Amino acid sequence: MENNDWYQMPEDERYYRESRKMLEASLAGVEVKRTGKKKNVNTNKLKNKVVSLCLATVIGVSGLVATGNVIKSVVSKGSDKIAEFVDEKQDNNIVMDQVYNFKNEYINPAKEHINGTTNDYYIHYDKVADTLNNSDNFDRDLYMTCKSFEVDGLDTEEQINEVFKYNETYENLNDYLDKNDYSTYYEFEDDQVNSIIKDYELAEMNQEGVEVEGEKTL
Amino acid sequence: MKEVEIIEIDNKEYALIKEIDHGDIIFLYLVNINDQDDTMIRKVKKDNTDLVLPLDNEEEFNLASGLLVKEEVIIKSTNE
Repeated sequence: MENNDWYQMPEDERYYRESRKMLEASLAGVEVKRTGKKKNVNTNKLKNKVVSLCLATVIGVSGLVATGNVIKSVVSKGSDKIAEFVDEKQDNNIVMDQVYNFKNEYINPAKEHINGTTNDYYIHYDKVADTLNNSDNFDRDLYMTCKSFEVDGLDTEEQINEVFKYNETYENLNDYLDKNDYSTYYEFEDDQVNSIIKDYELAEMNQEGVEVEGEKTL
Repeated sequence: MKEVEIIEIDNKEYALIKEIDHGDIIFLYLVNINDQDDTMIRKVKKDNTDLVLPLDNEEEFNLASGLLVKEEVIIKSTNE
Protein backbone atom coordinates (compact mmCIF):
# COMPACT_ATOMS: atom_id res chain seq x y z
CA MET A 1 0.00 0.00 0.00
CA GLU A 2 1.32 3.39 -0.92
CA ASN A 3 1.14 6.79 0.68
CA ASN A 4 0.42 5.87 4.24
CA ASP A 5 0.76 9.38 5.63
CA TRP A 6 -2.96 9.95 5.90
CA TYR A 7 -3.30 6.84 7.99
CA GLN A 8 -0.82 7.97 10.58
CA MET A 9 -3.38 10.31 12.12
CA PRO A 10 -3.42 9.61 15.85
CA GLU A 11 -7.13 10.24 16.30
CA ASP A 12 -9.05 7.10 15.47
CA GLU A 13 -12.30 8.99 15.48
CA ARG A 14 -11.17 10.88 12.43
CA TYR A 15 -12.25 7.92 10.35
CA TYR A 16 -15.74 8.08 11.70
CA ARG A 17 -16.03 11.81 11.38
CA GLU A 18 -14.93 11.67 7.80
CA SER A 19 -17.25 8.79 7.04
CA ARG A 20 -20.17 10.91 8.30
CA LYS A 21 -18.97 13.71 6.08
CA MET A 22 -18.88 11.32 3.16
CA LEU A 23 -22.41 10.19 4.00
CA GLU A 24 -23.70 13.75 3.92
CA ALA A 25 -21.96 14.44 0.63
CA SER A 26 -23.33 11.23 -0.85
CA LEU A 27 -26.91 12.20 -0.11
CA ALA A 28 -26.58 15.85 -1.08
CA GLY A 29 -26.77 17.49 -4.46
CA VAL A 30 -28.58 16.73 -7.65
CA GLU A 31 -28.11 14.40 -10.56
CA VAL A 32 -25.36 15.23 -13.03
CA LYS A 33 -24.43 13.90 -16.42
CA ARG A 34 -21.18 12.13 -17.10
CA THR A 35 -18.98 13.92 -19.61
CA GLY A 36 -16.46 11.18 -20.26
CA LYS A 37 -13.64 13.46 -19.19
CA LYS A 38 -10.52 11.68 -17.96
CA LYS A 39 -7.41 12.60 -15.97
CA ASN A 40 -4.37 10.89 -14.51
CA VAL A 41 -4.58 10.56 -10.73
CA ASN A 42 -2.99 8.51 -7.96
CA THR A 43 -5.78 5.98 -7.68
CA ASN A 44 -4.18 3.88 -4.95
CA LYS A 45 -4.01 6.78 -2.56
CA LEU A 46 -7.56 7.88 -3.27
CA LYS A 47 -8.99 4.38 -3.18
CA ASN A 48 -7.36 3.62 0.16
CA LYS A 49 -8.98 6.69 1.62
CA VAL A 50 -12.45 5.70 0.48
CA VAL A 51 -12.01 2.09 1.58
CA SER A 52 -11.00 3.24 5.04
CA LEU A 53 -14.02 5.49 5.37
CA CYS A 54 -16.33 2.73 4.21
CA LEU A 55 -14.73 0.39 6.72
CA ALA A 56 -15.38 2.98 9.40
CA THR A 57 -19.00 3.08 8.31
CA VAL A 58 -19.37 -0.67 8.41
CA ILE A 59 -17.82 -1.12 11.82
CA GLY A 60 -19.57 1.86 13.33
CA VAL A 61 -18.75 4.69 15.63
CA SER A 62 -17.64 2.93 18.76
CA GLY A 63 -16.45 -0.06 16.84
CA LEU A 64 -14.26 2.22 14.87
CA VAL A 65 -12.43 3.24 17.97
CA ALA A 66 -12.52 -0.11 19.69
CA THR A 67 -11.17 -1.79 16.60
CA GLY A 68 -8.71 0.94 15.85
CA ASN A 69 -5.91 -1.57 15.70
CA VAL A 70 -7.76 -3.46 13.02
CA ILE A 71 -8.21 -0.38 10.91
CA LYS A 72 -4.66 0.72 11.45
CA SER A 73 -3.46 -2.69 10.44
CA VAL A 74 -5.54 -2.62 7.32
CA VAL A 75 -4.64 0.82 6.20
CA SER A 76 -1.05 1.10 7.26
CA LYS A 77 0.28 -2.35 6.57
CA GLY A 78 -1.97 -3.60 3.84
CA SER A 79 -5.16 -5.51 3.59
CA ASP A 80 -3.43 -8.79 4.36
CA LYS A 81 -3.16 -7.64 7.95
CA ILE A 82 -6.87 -7.99 8.43
CA ALA A 83 -6.04 -11.66 8.75
CA GLU A 84 -4.89 -10.77 12.25
CA PHE A 85 -8.49 -10.13 13.01
CA VAL A 86 -10.18 -12.82 11.03
CA ASP A 87 -9.17 -16.27 9.93
CA GLU A 88 -7.92 -15.87 6.41
CA LYS A 89 -8.74 -19.46 5.58
CA GLN A 90 -12.43 -18.96 6.08
CA ASP A 91 -14.74 -18.01 3.30
CA ASN A 92 -15.88 -14.48 2.73
CA ASN A 93 -19.30 -14.79 4.25
CA ILE A 94 -17.89 -16.15 7.48
CA VAL A 95 -15.31 -13.42 7.55
CA MET A 96 -18.01 -10.83 7.08
CA ASP A 97 -20.02 -12.48 9.83
CA GLN A 98 -17.06 -12.25 12.14
CA VAL A 99 -16.77 -8.55 11.57
CA TYR A 100 -20.39 -8.08 12.46
CA ASN A 101 -20.20 -10.51 15.35
CA PHE A 102 -17.39 -8.51 16.82
CA LYS A 103 -19.48 -5.42 16.44
CA ASN A 104 -22.47 -7.08 18.03
CA GLU A 105 -20.55 -8.62 20.88
CA TYR A 106 -18.50 -5.67 21.98
CA ILE A 107 -19.76 -2.53 20.38
CA ASN A 108 -23.52 -2.55 20.22
CA PRO A 109 -23.99 -3.26 23.94
CA ALA A 110 -21.93 -0.23 24.77
CA LYS A 111 -23.86 1.86 22.29
CA GLU A 112 -27.15 0.53 23.61
CA HIS A 113 -26.03 1.38 27.09
CA ILE A 114 -25.35 4.92 26.01
CA ASN A 115 -28.84 5.03 24.61
CA GLY A 116 -30.23 3.60 27.82
CA THR A 117 -31.64 0.45 26.33
CA THR A 118 -29.77 -2.26 28.13
CA ASN A 119 -28.75 -3.23 31.62
CA ASP A 120 -25.88 -5.48 30.78
CA TYR A 121 -23.60 -2.73 29.68
CA TYR A 122 -21.11 -3.13 32.41
CA ILE A 123 -19.08 -6.08 31.23
CA HIS A 124 -19.02 -4.88 27.67
CA TYR A 125 -18.45 -1.33 28.63
CA ASP A 126 -15.40 -2.20 30.64
CA LYS A 127 -13.97 -4.14 27.74
CA VAL A 128 -14.08 -1.21 25.43
CA ALA A 129 -13.75 1.61 27.92
CA ASP A 130 -10.06 2.14 27.42
CA THR A 131 -10.31 2.43 23.69
CA LEU A 132 -13.49 4.46 23.80
CA ASN A 133 -11.79 6.88 26.10
CA ASN A 134 -10.45 8.98 23.29
CA SER A 135 -13.69 9.18 21.38
CA ASP A 136 -15.99 12.17 21.34
CA ASN A 137 -18.81 9.68 21.64
CA PHE A 138 -17.54 8.28 24.89
CA ASP A 139 -19.40 9.88 27.78
CA ARG A 140 -16.71 9.76 30.41
CA ASP A 141 -18.89 11.59 32.90
CA LEU A 142 -21.59 9.00 32.53
CA TYR A 143 -19.16 6.15 32.65
CA MET A 144 -17.55 7.29 35.86
CA THR A 145 -20.90 8.05 37.42
CA CYS A 146 -22.34 4.67 36.56
CA LYS A 147 -19.20 2.86 37.51
CA SER A 148 -19.20 4.56 40.87
CA PHE A 149 -22.78 3.59 41.55
CA GLU A 150 -22.31 0.00 40.54
CA VAL A 151 -23.23 -2.68 43.07
CA ASP A 152 -19.73 -2.83 44.45
CA GLY A 153 -19.93 0.83 45.29
CA LEU A 154 -17.07 3.20 45.32
CA ASP A 155 -13.71 1.55 45.36
CA THR A 156 -11.27 4.34 45.25
CA GLU A 157 -10.93 7.96 46.15
CA GLU A 158 -10.31 8.61 42.53
CA GLN A 159 -13.79 7.38 41.70
CA ILE A 160 -15.32 9.43 44.45
CA ASN A 161 -13.56 12.49 43.18
CA GLU A 162 -14.66 11.75 39.65
CA VAL A 163 -18.28 11.59 40.73
CA PHE A 164 -18.13 14.79 42.63
CA LYS A 165 -16.10 16.52 40.04
CA TYR A 166 -19.11 16.39 37.80
CA ASN A 167 -21.91 16.02 40.31
CA GLU A 168 -21.42 18.10 43.38
CA THR A 169 -24.72 17.27 44.98
CA TYR A 170 -27.32 14.57 44.95
CA GLU A 171 -29.72 16.90 43.22
CA ASN A 172 -27.27 17.77 40.53
CA LEU A 173 -26.56 14.13 39.96
CA ASN A 174 -30.24 13.35 39.66
CA ASP A 175 -30.70 16.24 37.29
CA TYR A 176 -27.85 14.92 35.25
CA LEU A 177 -29.34 11.46 35.07
CA ASP A 178 -32.84 12.77 34.36
CA LYS A 179 -31.63 15.09 31.67
CA ASN A 180 -29.89 12.24 29.96
CA ASP A 181 -32.76 9.84 30.51
CA TYR A 182 -30.60 7.42 32.39
CA SER A 183 -32.50 7.66 35.63
CA THR A 184 -34.41 4.45 35.15
CA TYR A 185 -31.18 2.51 34.99
CA TYR A 186 -29.13 4.20 37.62
CA GLU A 187 -31.50 4.84 40.44
CA PHE A 188 -29.93 4.89 43.82
CA GLU A 189 -31.09 5.28 47.36
CA ASP A 190 -30.58 8.18 49.69
CA ASP A 191 -28.43 6.15 52.04
CA GLN A 192 -26.16 5.28 49.16
CA VAL A 193 -25.73 8.92 48.38
CA ASN A 194 -25.13 9.74 52.01
CA SER A 195 -22.50 7.07 52.16
CA ILE A 196 -20.88 8.42 49.07
CA ILE A 197 -20.91 11.92 50.45
CA LYS A 198 -19.44 10.66 53.67
CA ASP A 199 -16.73 8.82 51.81
CA TYR A 200 -16.07 11.86 49.76
CA GLU A 201 -15.75 14.01 52.85
CA LEU A 202 -13.42 11.48 54.40
CA ALA A 203 -11.34 11.46 51.27
CA GLU A 204 -11.24 15.24 51.23
CA MET A 205 -10.15 15.40 54.83
CA ASN A 206 -7.55 12.74 54.29
CA GLN A 207 -6.19 14.67 51.38
CA GLU A 208 -5.93 17.68 53.66
CA GLY A 209 -3.92 15.69 56.16
CA VAL A 210 -6.67 15.45 58.78
CA GLU A 211 -6.70 12.20 60.65
CA VAL A 212 -10.11 10.63 60.40
CA GLU A 213 -11.26 7.44 61.98
CA GLY A 214 -13.77 5.25 60.26
CA GLU A 215 -14.08 3.23 57.15
CA LYS A 216 -15.89 3.64 53.92
CA THR A 217 -19.39 2.37 54.19
CA LEU A 218 -19.80 1.04 50.67
CA MET B 1 -0.78 7.40 -11.72
CA LYS B 2 -3.67 6.05 -13.70
CA GLU B 3 -6.15 7.56 -16.11
CA VAL B 4 -9.63 7.58 -14.63
CA GLU B 5 -12.98 9.10 -15.43
CA ILE B 6 -13.72 12.49 -13.94
CA ILE B 7 -17.22 13.36 -12.79
CA GLU B 8 -17.99 17.02 -12.19
CA ILE B 9 -20.26 17.82 -9.27
CA ASP B 10 -20.80 21.39 -8.06
CA ASN B 11 -17.94 22.57 -10.26
CA LYS B 12 -15.53 20.20 -8.57
CA GLU B 13 -13.75 17.32 -10.25
CA TYR B 14 -14.14 13.89 -8.69
CA ALA B 15 -12.09 10.88 -9.73
CA LEU B 16 -14.10 7.72 -10.21
CA ILE B 17 -11.91 5.29 -8.32
CA LYS B 18 -14.24 2.30 -8.11
CA GLU B 19 -17.52 0.96 -9.50
CA ILE B 20 -19.51 -1.89 -7.95
CA ASP B 21 -22.51 -3.54 -9.53
CA HIS B 22 -25.44 -4.22 -7.29
CA GLY B 23 -28.77 -5.28 -8.73
CA ASP B 24 -30.03 -2.70 -11.18
CA ILE B 25 -27.62 -0.02 -10.06
CA ILE B 26 -23.90 0.64 -10.03
CA PHE B 27 -22.30 2.43 -7.10
CA LEU B 28 -19.62 4.98 -7.95
CA TYR B 29 -16.92 5.80 -5.41
CA LEU B 30 -15.62 9.31 -5.90
CA VAL B 31 -12.80 11.44 -4.51
CA ASN B 32 -12.18 15.11 -5.24
CA ILE B 33 -8.88 15.18 -7.13
CA ASN B 34 -7.92 18.45 -5.42
CA ASP B 35 -9.06 17.53 -1.92
CA GLN B 36 -8.88 13.91 -0.83
CA ASP B 37 -10.92 14.74 2.25
CA ASP B 38 -13.85 15.38 -0.08
CA THR B 39 -15.25 11.93 -0.84
CA MET B 40 -18.66 10.62 -1.76
CA ILE B 41 -20.58 7.70 -3.17
CA ARG B 42 -22.94 8.16 -6.09
CA LYS B 43 -24.89 5.73 -8.22
CA VAL B 44 -26.13 5.20 -11.76
CA LYS B 45 -28.99 3.05 -12.92
CA LYS B 46 -28.02 0.40 -15.40
CA ASP B 47 -30.69 1.59 -17.82
CA ASN B 48 -29.20 5.09 -17.84
CA THR B 49 -25.55 5.02 -16.83
CA ASP B 50 -24.93 8.59 -18.03
CA LEU B 51 -26.94 10.08 -15.23
CA VAL B 52 -25.10 10.19 -11.90
CA LEU B 53 -27.45 10.27 -8.92
CA PRO B 54 -27.02 10.99 -5.22
CA LEU B 55 -27.79 8.11 -2.87
CA ASP B 56 -31.31 7.89 -1.48
CA ASN B 57 -30.58 7.53 2.21
CA GLU B 58 -28.14 6.35 4.88
CA GLU B 59 -29.23 2.76 4.43
CA GLU B 60 -28.10 2.83 0.84
CA PHE B 61 -24.87 4.49 1.89
CA ASN B 62 -24.25 1.71 4.40
CA LEU B 63 -24.94 -0.87 1.73
CA ALA B 64 -22.50 0.76 -0.68
CA SER B 65 -19.90 1.00 2.07
CA GLY B 66 -20.32 -2.65 2.96
CA LEU B 67 -19.95 -3.72 -0.64
CA LEU B 68 -16.69 -1.84 -0.99
CA VAL B 69 -15.30 -3.19 2.26
CA LYS B 70 -16.24 -6.72 1.29
CA GLU B 71 -14.60 -6.40 -2.11
CA GLU B 72 -11.53 -4.36 -1.26
CA VAL B 73 -10.69 -5.57 2.24
CA ILE B 74 -12.21 -8.88 3.07
CA ILE B 75 -12.10 -10.68 -0.24
CA LYS B 76 -8.62 -9.43 -1.00
CA SER B 77 -7.31 -10.39 2.42
CA THR B 78 -8.71 -13.88 2.16
CA ASN B 79 -7.34 -14.39 -1.32
CA GLU B 80 -3.81 -13.29 -0.48
